[in-house]
Amino acid sequence: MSSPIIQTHQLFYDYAKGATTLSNINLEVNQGDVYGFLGPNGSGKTTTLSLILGLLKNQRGTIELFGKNLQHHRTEILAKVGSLIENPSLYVHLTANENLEVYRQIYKASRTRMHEVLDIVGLKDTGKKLVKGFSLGMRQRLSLAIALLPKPELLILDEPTNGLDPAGILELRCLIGRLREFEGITFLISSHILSEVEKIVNRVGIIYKGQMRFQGSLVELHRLQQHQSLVQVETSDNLRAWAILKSFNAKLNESELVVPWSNLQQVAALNKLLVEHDVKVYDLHPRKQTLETIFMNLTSN
Amino acid sequence: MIFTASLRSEFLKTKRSSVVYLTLVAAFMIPFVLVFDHGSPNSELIANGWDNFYREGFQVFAFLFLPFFYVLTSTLILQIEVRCNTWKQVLASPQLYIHILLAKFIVIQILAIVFVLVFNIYMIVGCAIIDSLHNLNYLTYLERWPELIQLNIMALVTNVGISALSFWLALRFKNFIVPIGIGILLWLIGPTAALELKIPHFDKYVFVLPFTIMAKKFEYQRAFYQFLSVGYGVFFFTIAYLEFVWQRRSLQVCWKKEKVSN
Repeated sequence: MSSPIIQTHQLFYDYAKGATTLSNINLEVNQGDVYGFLGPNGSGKTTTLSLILGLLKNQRGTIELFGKNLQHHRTEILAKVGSLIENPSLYVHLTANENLEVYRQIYKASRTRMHEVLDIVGLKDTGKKLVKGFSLGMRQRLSLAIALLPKPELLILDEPTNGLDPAGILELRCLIGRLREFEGITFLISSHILSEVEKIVNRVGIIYKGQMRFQGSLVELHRLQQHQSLVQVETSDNLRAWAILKSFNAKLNESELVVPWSNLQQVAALNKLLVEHDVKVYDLHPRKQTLETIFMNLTSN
Repeated sequence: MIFTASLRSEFLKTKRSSVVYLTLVAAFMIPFVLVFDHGSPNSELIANGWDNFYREGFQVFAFLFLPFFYVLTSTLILQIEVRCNTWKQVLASPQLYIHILLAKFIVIQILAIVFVLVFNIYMIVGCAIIDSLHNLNYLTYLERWPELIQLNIMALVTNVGISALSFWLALRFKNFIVPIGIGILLWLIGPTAALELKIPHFDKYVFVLPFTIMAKKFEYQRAFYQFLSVGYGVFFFTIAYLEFVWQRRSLQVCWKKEKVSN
């Protein structure tokens, strides 16, 4: 098992007294992960990422990155981390090159690396054009270039697809894949749209109203999806059918009989069982949960 | 972490920013007004023409323009991060908090030195214009350059307290108007309290200190006022630093961390 790169332990945060923004967040990102941190707007994603980067004062709980406490090794840790938090953070009166120059020596990066990251994000030919003349997509890519400047071991991206067109989103996905494969970067990517990150992440954390609703691998999320898939059954006697299907964990909600299922053989088996007990089956209607509906269920009251 | 990298980064951010234009334009105003206001030479003043010309301009410069320059420049420098939404990127970079603040403060001090230098250049050019227009020889007084340098250094030192106070205010308020408004108000208190209300010991008020370098009354206490200004500077900068850190971490952790990093 790979070692954890980010580990938060019982993280709590309040912006104001009595208004809990984060409650008991135990986030774990392992080396080589592309971790999708999901949740609707206002669920606490940016607050969590800001705490991980030391942008907010840690009120309760501990944050460890690369096995070291952030409070005591802030600069040492941040030297290995690239970040893009919310909207692009750029000096609009400077050029793309100058924006990178601002951070180049701080990250001890070479000029070659600077040109390399501009090439990676496709902004090599912007010349003397000032950032104020850049489109939102270009600004987002330049922010990504700054995040890549220190050759980071960990890249924290908060809503990185904001402002990108479909082609840009696709490009970003490919870039993340390439960086993970060839440079071994670990990613922590937040988004409020599951479908946007579903294709690139291997681990997922779902946060809602400041609480972690799910954390695990994408395989575990798919397993949860299967567990939560139901077949709706309509019979001549739903009450009797419910008694017969008790071993299938059947549930009778008012007049609606639902049974969890994970494969079609199970559906056939329960049909057979009902017929054997002289219950007429009028309708078998599988209601498969998608990842999107699981996400919606986890992020709703 | 290397401080020079932080300093270089802060200098780069001022490129094409309004502080550069402010430095060049604001320094031009007094010499410009003085040259146009000079008129025909007064035969009684010719004997000490340079002193009248320079001291008149310099007094306004040291007591009014330089403090306002610090108020405006501090605000503009810190507003670069606010307007560009870049504070979070700066704070997520591997720089010590003290490096971030000290680099910004030094940039402001260097801009102030440039401001003083440019002002002096404009004054000398103004003198040359007056000399040629009225057939005078004010420029020969430049032989007293050590006196000029001393006066300029005193102006900068007595403004150190104001610069640190302005820096703290600009760091504290995200709004552009608030630190400028407070700065103007604090400056206005100086002449009001000293001249109108005649409050005792008001000469020790931070915004009054630049006035002491020209006033005869304080001729023998100038060193004291210089030290007082530096003391104010250290005090306000320390407050600014502690508050900046306090917003992000407990101070106890900060001391431990600084030890680990160093």
